[in-house]
This record gives sequence, structure tokens and C-alpha cells, in this order.
Amino acid sequence: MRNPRAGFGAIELVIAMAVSAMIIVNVTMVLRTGAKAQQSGAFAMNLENQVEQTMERISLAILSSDGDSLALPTAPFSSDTIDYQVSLGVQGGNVVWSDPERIALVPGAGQVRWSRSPGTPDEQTVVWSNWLPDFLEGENGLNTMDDNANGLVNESGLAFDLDRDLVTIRLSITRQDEDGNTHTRTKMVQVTCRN
Amino acid sequence: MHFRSQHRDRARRGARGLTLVELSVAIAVLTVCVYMLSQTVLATIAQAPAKRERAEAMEAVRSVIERMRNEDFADVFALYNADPSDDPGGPATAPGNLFAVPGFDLQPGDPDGFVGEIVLPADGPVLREDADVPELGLPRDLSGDGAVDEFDHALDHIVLPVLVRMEWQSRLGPRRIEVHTMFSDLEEAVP
Amino acid sequence: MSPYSVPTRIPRAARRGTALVASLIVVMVVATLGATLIQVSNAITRRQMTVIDTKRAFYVSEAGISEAFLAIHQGKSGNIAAPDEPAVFGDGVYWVEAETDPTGRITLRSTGLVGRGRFSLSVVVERQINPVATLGIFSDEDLVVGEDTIVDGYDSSLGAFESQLDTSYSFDTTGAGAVLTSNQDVILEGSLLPLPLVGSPTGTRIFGDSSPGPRCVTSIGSGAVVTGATAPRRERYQAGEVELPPNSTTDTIDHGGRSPVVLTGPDVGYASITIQSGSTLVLQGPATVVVQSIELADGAQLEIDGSNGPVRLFVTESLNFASGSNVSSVTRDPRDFSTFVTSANWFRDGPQMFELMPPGSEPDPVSPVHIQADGEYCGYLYAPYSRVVLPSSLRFFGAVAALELDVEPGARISFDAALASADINQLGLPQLISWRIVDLPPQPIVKSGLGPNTYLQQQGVTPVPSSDAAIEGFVKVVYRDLSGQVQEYTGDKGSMDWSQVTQVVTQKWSTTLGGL
Repeated sequence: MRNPRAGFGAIELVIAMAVSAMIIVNVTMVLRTGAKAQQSGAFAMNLENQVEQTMERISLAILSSDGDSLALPTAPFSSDTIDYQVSLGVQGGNVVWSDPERIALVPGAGQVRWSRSPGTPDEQTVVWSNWLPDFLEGENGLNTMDDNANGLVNESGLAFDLDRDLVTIRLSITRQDEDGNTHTRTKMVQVTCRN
Repeated sequence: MHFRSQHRDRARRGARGLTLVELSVAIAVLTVCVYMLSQTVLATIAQAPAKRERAEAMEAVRSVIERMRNEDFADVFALYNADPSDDPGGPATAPGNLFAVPGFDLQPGDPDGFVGEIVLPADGPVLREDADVPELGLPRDLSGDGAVDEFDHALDHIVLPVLVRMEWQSRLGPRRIEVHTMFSDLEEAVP
Repeated sequence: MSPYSVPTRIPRAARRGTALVASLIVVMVVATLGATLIQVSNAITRRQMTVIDTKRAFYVSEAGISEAFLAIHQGKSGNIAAPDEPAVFGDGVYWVEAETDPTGRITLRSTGLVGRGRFSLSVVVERQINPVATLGIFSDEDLVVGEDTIVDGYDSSLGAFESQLDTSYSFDTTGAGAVLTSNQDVILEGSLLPLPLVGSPTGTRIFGDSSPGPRCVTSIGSGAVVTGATAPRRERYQAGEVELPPNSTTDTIDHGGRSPVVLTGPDVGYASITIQSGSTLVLQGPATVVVQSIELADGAQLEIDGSNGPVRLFVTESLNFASGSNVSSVTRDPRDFSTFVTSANWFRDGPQMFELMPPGSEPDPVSPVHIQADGEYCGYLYAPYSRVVLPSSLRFFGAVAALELDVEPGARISFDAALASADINQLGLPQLISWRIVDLPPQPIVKSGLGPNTYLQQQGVTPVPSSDAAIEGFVKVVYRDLSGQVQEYTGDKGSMDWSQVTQVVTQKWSTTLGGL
């Protein structure tokens, strides 16, 4: 008599393996897709956070500065550099101002650099952000037109303009992910100098 | 003799059946798990735009407040109330109390067609201290004389409570963001 | 072959449940992955909400600064609420700590909390001192003081002039406190008499400081004495414009009767007021009187009654107190009377000094301010576009600012230092000196990771409404009620029926009843 176990064992095994393989493959696909989407989302989120943090640092610095002392152009022109001083309080009846500070885009390097006492032997510099393009998102800089319809012409990846005490800050950051896809985030913030 | 083999056969058959049942159950359980995980992943991914929207909405509201702050304090009420008749530069020249923000959809049934609104203690062009606007902390003294009266303080108020809000329809449903603040006629001392 | 000779292996029965165990493990792994994903997503959301809440907290702390600004304007300290019982504003809370330095400047530190966001600001403000009144006796052009004039100073907030005399002098004087200021020279005309003794009433005596303009001098004539500093100022003072209350009336008063005409507020306007000889005009405060011209004839009388509140007189064309007219004050407090002359239709020979004339009109060479009255003028006179001559017949208490100021020989002037801080012409708003972001204070509510409303609920604390959060709970207020009568209330602010108030005349706040 034929061993009843032998055939069933193999079919069982094959079916079990096939089904398991299907499950594993599907689960793996889902996990990979999810992981990829999550990675992409995380990359975008990181970029978003970087823009947000850089903007927040710039905003807080400008808030405490004296609007009358800012030498910035008015739209449609802009500057990629802002020189300012912040109030440190009052002493002896006089306002105490900080050492001169500067926030500037370093073209080519694509960096936002904050400096204290720029151009002096005591200069201190901190890089606040990398991956800035030379021109703001949508602006090609090769003409004198407002390519991205934001009211500015040929504005840099970091652009400041002034309207009385209101400073408008625009910033773009561009990065490539692992797959070579380019992600760009642009943000605009307006702050009024409080001093 | 016969009994033992039958018993074994039966045992074998029972074992065979149990394996398939186990497998079926396992497949069902795994399917449900994978489905739930995928839903979680999708939900997480779907939240990202909503989070970004919230940040952008906050920035839009902050921008409005900063632009208001850039104006002379004495003009803020006239510039940003709902009445165009008192606009400093002429009727309907002021920004008014409503604002749009590109990229944001209106909530269903939105009455004014704008996602953004500036709330002031205004009754038309009149600034009333005795207006019942709890979200602005009214009624309260706005002119500094200590009294809360029914007169128009559009020209002599020295503090101005402000609420700026945005309401929009996101992919996850209706959303709102509000920022409360109060301006004052605090000018820089002339050195 | 025996059916029982099958090799023994692990019985299948013993392997029952293996697939289920494996799938259970997979379920746990998947569940863990899902939970991790949710955790990460929640953490990101939480962080983003914290960022948003921090921005909202910034604006709430600015609201605190505004509330403190209002309080300081009302004469309060600027302290608003406290960390353990903060003020509620919108959906957040805040408190403000105020500290006054010896120079009178106030440092305000406002901390705002919304949700998980916290923000702290520090602002330095100074109470607005009436800038013009601090200049004392001021002239934009040369300030000329005739011989045998005595100028001193006192402080009406400390009492009457007579209570502050320096008895070492043989004549009535406080011996100090004079403030002469000019954007040009200060010229103290000399006496032709022999040099007098210091204690002698003859010779010009300036018992205080004389401050000419930048690179200008105090010219001290023979016999004139300045007991204080005479150094020139570093900057010119630019007189501010007068904010004229609205008045479109064409009514006139020409009064010759024996009974006095009494004008009382709150807002009174006339095209012209003329008081004939033997008649009396009483300006009764609180009142704001706007006239185009006011004239006192020889023998007419002007009485200022500031008992119930200050009197402000705005003159848009001419002020003429003829020789022989009389000015007096019921309270003799210069803070109760201020005169603002806004007319600017005067120019002198030579370079045109000032021109603000309607097209086609003829220039009027007569100064719009003509004061030759006798009696006592107790008040503040502000005529930034006019020439003013202070007569020797009029005893002057207060302060004066004019385009060109001449003091007649033998005049008697006492500068009131209290005017420097009085709210004249509503110039009392605090001003900003410095604004900056500071570290959060180490308060439990700040360090708590909870939203402030939740934290306060746990503490059993109900936050105070922002408008009621100033720490000064007692008030002394003089006001007009619904029937126009002047009333006074002293006590707890919560017990005051503010609905009865149509106009607040004066108010004073304190943390204790005794402080009023």
C-alpha cells in the first residue's frame, strides 16, 4: 500500500512554502513601500524643519534689532545680507547694544552664516544652514524680471527687504535624497523690529 | 493490529487538517496585520501635508500681525476693521478685516470667502469698550481712563486687543488656528 | 514489512500551533512597527505644536507688555498678576514683573504661556514727563530777563509756594529751583544801581540754572546773579505741535454784567470771549475751552477754578489781557490750568521768523499773546509760535514756553517742578527705551510640561482676566457722572460703579487704601 503521508507531505510543504512566500513577499513589499514613503516623508519633514529652524533664528535676531539702523533695500530689490545690533538692555540710563552681527548668504557655499563682529579679528561665525541655492526657488537670476511672482527681482536664496520697520525674509533650501530626487522648500517670514 | 494503524492514520489525518487550519488562521491574522500597518503608514504619510499646512497657517497669521504692527498704532483700528468708510487713505483703500492665503481651501459654508479674519472690538467704524467680545477680553478699558463706557474710542484708545484667526478645510477635515495679542501706543523714546 | 516499523520522528501533533506561534511573533513585530510609527508621528506633531504654541506665547507676552503699558499710564506700577496666579489672555496666560530704577525708568518682564509654548520678553519704558514743562521758563529765541527780576522754583505737589520759602532771605523766595532755558542766548539785563548784596531784593536773581542753546551763552549783566549752572545745552529743543481739540462753534461772549460768567466743561467752544471792565469770567474745571480770541478789558477779571478738575484753555488767534485786568486762581496750583496759544500770525522786522497765514491775508505784526494783567497767573503757558512778554505786574507761578520770551524788569516768576510730571495736553504715555528677548524664569508653571490651563486647574487656581490683573486694587478717582456732576470715589476698584462714569478727570491707584 502506498504511504499516505508521502504525497501529502510534499504538497503541504509546497503549498505552505508558496503561501508563506507570498505572505512574506507582500509583507516585505508593504514594509518597503511604507519605509520608503516614510523615508521620503521624513526627508521632507527634515527639510521643512531645517527651513523652519533657520527662519526662526533669523526672525528672533531681527525682532530685537533697531529698525532705524537696518540698511536694507525696499522691494522689488533685496539683499542677501543683513547687519544689525540687538538690544541687551539698559545700563546707566543708556541702551546697551550688542556687537555688530551679520546674517548672510555665502554664495557658492550655499550657507547661511551668522557672524558677530564681522570683518574684525574677533569675528565669530556659526553656520545656520547649508544647501541654499544661489537664487530663490523659481528665480533664475538671468533676467531682471520677477520670475517667481513674489515681488522681488533676482533675489538670492536668502533675501531680505525692508518696509519701514517690517523686514521680509525669504529662504530656499534645496537637497537631493538618496534616490537623487531634488526637494526644495521655500519659506517667507515677516517680522517687525521691536526697537 | 488493524486498530493501531487506523489510529495512526486518524492521527495523521488530524495533524494534516490542523496544519491547514493553522495556516489559514495565520494568513488571516497576517493579512489583518499588514492591512493595519499599511493603514498606519498611510495615515502617517497623509498627516504630513496637514502638519505642513498648520505651520504655514501659523506663519500667515504671524505675517498679518507683523504687518499690523508695522502701521502707526493710531491707524491700526481704521485699517483693519470691517468698515471701509473710515479707511485712512480713503474708502476701501485699507486691507480690512479679511485676508486670503494661497493654497488653503475654504471650509464648507464659509460666509465671507476668506480663510483669514481679524477680530477687533469694532462696531462698524466705532471702537466700543463695552462691546461683549469675550475672545478679546471685552468689555474692558481701552483708553486708559479707567472707565468702561459706551463712547467711541476709535481716536483715543491706547491699547487694542486683536485676534487673528484662520479657518480652512484640510484633507483631514476642518482646521483652525488663532493668535491673540494686544497692541499698544508704545512709541520709541526720542533720544 | 511491519506497519509499525515507521521511523520515529517528532509527532505532528506535537508540532501543532507552530504556525500560529510564528504568526503571533510576526503580529507582534508588525504591531511594534506600527506603534513606533505612531510614536514618531506623534512626537513630530507634538514638536510642531510646541513651535506653534511658542509663537502664540510670544504674542501673549506682548499682550502683557501692553497691559503693563496701560497700567503705567494710569499711574500704576506695571506689575500685572503673578506666576502663581497669572492673567488669562485669549487661550494663554501671562504675568508681568515691573521694577523701577532710580532714574524712574521701569523694566517690565512679561512671560507668556500657551499650551506647551513659553516666551519671555523684557522691555524698559519711561513714564512720559512733559518735555516742555521740564524746560521751565523757555524761549526758542533769545530769552531776555529784565533787571531786578527774581526767578526761583518750587514744587506744588509738596504744598503752596509760601510753605517752601527759604527764610534766610529778606524777601519771599525758595532760594532754588529756577529753570531758564533757551535755544539761543539767555540775557540777564544788568542794573544801573551799585552791586547789591546777595540777600537784597534788588538786582536780577536767578535761584537755579540758566541753560542757553548749543554754543550760546548766558549773558549776565551788572548786578545779576545766577546761583546754579549756566552751561549751554547740548541740543536744541524742538517745540511740539499743539493737538487742538475740535471746535466749530461761532458763538461769542461779550460780557459786561456784574455777575460772573461761568464756563464749565467738559468741552466748551467760542469764537470770541470779551470781558468788559468790572465783569468776571470764571473758568471752572474740569473743562476744555477752545476760543479763537479771548480779551480782558481794563478792570476785567479772570478766575481759574480748578477745584474739581483742571482747566485747559486753547486760543487759536489772540489772547489779550489788558493792563488793569486781573488774573487769579482758586487753587493756586499750576497743574490745574494750562493755556495753549496756537496762533502763528506774527513776524518781526528783518528775517521772517514764522509764516503760517491763509493765502491773501495781510501779516499781523502784533503778537497774538498780550498779557499786561496783574494778579497771579498759576499755570502753564505754551505759545510756541508767539512772542510773549511776562509783565512785572503779574505774579507768575508755573512754566512758560514761547517763540520769543521777554521778562519785564521787576517780574516775579516761580517755576513749578510738579508740572514736569503732570499730564498736560495728554502727553503722559510711557515711551519705549529697549526691547529684548530674555530667558524664561524658573517658575514651576514654566517648567511644567503641562498647558497652563491644565496646570492651574491642578493647582486649584483661577487666572485673573487681563484687564483686572494689575496688582493695584484701590483707586481714588474724580469723575463726571451721568448727570454731569463731578464726583469722587476712594476705595476698592471692584466696588466702584464704573457705569456711572462719563468722564474720568483724575485717577490715582495704589495697592493699599492708605496709599491713596
